[in-house]
Amino acid sequence: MQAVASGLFLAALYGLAAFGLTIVYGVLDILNFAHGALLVLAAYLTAEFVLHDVPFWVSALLSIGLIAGVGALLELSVFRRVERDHTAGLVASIGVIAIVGSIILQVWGPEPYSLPRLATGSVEFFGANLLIDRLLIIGIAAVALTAAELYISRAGWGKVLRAVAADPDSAYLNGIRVRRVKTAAFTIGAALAAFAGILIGTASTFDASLGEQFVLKAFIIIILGGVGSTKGTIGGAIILGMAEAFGVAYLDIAVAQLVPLAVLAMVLLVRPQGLFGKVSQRV
Amino acid sequence: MSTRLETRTPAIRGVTRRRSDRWLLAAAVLICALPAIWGSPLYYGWATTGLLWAMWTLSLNMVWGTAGQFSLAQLGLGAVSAYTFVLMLDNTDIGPVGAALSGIGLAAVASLAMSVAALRLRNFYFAILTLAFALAITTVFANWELAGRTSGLLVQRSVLPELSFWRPSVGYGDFYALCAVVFVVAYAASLFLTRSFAGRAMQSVRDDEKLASSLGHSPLSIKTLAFVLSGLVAGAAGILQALYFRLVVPELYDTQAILLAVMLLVLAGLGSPAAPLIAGVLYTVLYQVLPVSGESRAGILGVIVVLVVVLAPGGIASQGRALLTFVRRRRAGAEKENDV
Repeated sequence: MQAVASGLFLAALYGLAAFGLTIVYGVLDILNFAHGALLVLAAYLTAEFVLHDVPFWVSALLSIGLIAGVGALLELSVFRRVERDHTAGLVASIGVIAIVGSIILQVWGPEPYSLPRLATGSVEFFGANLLIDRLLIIGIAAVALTAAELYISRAGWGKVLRAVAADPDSAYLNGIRVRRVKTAAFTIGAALAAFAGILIGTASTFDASLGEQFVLKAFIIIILGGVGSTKGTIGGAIILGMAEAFGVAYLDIAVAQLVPLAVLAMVLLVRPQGLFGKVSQRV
Repeated sequence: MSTRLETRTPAIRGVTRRRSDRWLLAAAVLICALPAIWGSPLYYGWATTGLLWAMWTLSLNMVWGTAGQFSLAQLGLGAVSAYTFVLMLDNTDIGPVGAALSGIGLAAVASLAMSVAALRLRNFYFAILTLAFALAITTVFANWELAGRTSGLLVQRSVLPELSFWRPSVGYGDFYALCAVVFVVAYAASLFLTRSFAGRAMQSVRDDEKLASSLGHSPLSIKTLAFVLSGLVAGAAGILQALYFRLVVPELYDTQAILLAVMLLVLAGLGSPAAPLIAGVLYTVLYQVLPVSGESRAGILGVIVVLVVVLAPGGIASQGRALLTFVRRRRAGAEKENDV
């Protein structure tokens, strides 16, 4: 039971981190390594606001807003200019990581930070000791991911997003303002990264390296779930979270660290379109 | 991944560029000889790290710039080689040369195994699988008792004199000379390869895989060859780096180092034969000479990379080429006017 709860907790964090990345990759076709940098920047911004006595929830909202703004600015000033060149987009995102990492180290230094926990205490459930703040994070992530998935699959604007992801040229011919949609997608992706970063910061300490750990996991998840599939992303997050949690519970710690990479290698070699994806040209 | 950034030297031009290769090789020798003018340990240190990064980017340029495969595994392959080298030295009587050859050989075998699995994938999938491979390698070493876990392994000091090829006492200059010779040989081999039949096949596979296939090339074999050759260079770089730092630790091959190699190569000019030379000089200037804090360096490099990607996608090499063309045209125009 303890392993299941840990798995769900990891799945919640990974799912939030990967969902934004899926939207950005699906709509802009950019392998955005900077997603992790935005995630960790949001955690630091929130910590800074909290240190200046701003209430936590206000700090979190301010940080999400700021990171969404940074995302929009990045899309307009950098990624829009390289939109037809995947490699250039990827390299630009690596440049952004270096810039954000440098800013973080200069402003906040290498020491680890943490955010206030959402709740304290624990509950006993089927013999397992479950931390209340982790249960809250699972609940918040489940609500946020379900709402985001429903919005993308049912709401009118979500359909616009999917149309641009499927075929930007046809979407443009059908009157959709593709450029605006792309900017909005990047902004939403950045906001989701910020949301994930803040939740991660409440559950554990973090430093500048947090982003790179999560962005690789996020990439593994979107490959597991099938690139561009938001439902697959949620499924992939659950699989990876569970695999990691059970690995830690039942295997040597060194072997457990290799579990996500082994899962990725197996999926890519056996079913490169992902567990929930269809065969695609991109593979 | 046939993209703007990747098509700096179309295959067809390769045949007519032998003269520029000679100039490049001469430039490599000249740049490598520069620190000897001052002979200061400080300059030798700067130049050695510059050469090491030139080697990493040379390896990456072979597989990404020439063959079009965006691999993030090069530093992982270097780690395989460096750890093998140190472990063989510590646990066998094979000697430094044998250990170095074993390390490089294992890096080549690892890149062959990696290519069998990864080269069937494309673009995003290939990049992520190679990154996962590099991180898996460092995770294994960081958790392996024999490899010293996160503290790594020290390289025996007595190794260096045995690797010195002209005198027994080894100073900074001697080790630098060893690095310079290895780099120049690897660089010359890469220039030769680029102009060879195999190199042109690699470039044609990079530019248009279907066309290359219809011309009789086997894309999988060609890409595997590029991957293995770049693995050999990465293996040599890993051993030289281990000897320079007298230490192998997983941190030397982490994500930051992998991304630094990518940024240096793109800034220098992905696919350009001059890129490794420019990348080595760039690293020396940005990370050694420039009087700024360590935190600022990565930020400055990041800003330059973003600007180059947006404004000058061919990197410094293509700007240099454009400048040369401009000067030649001006000169030709002036000669015509004089004739009239």
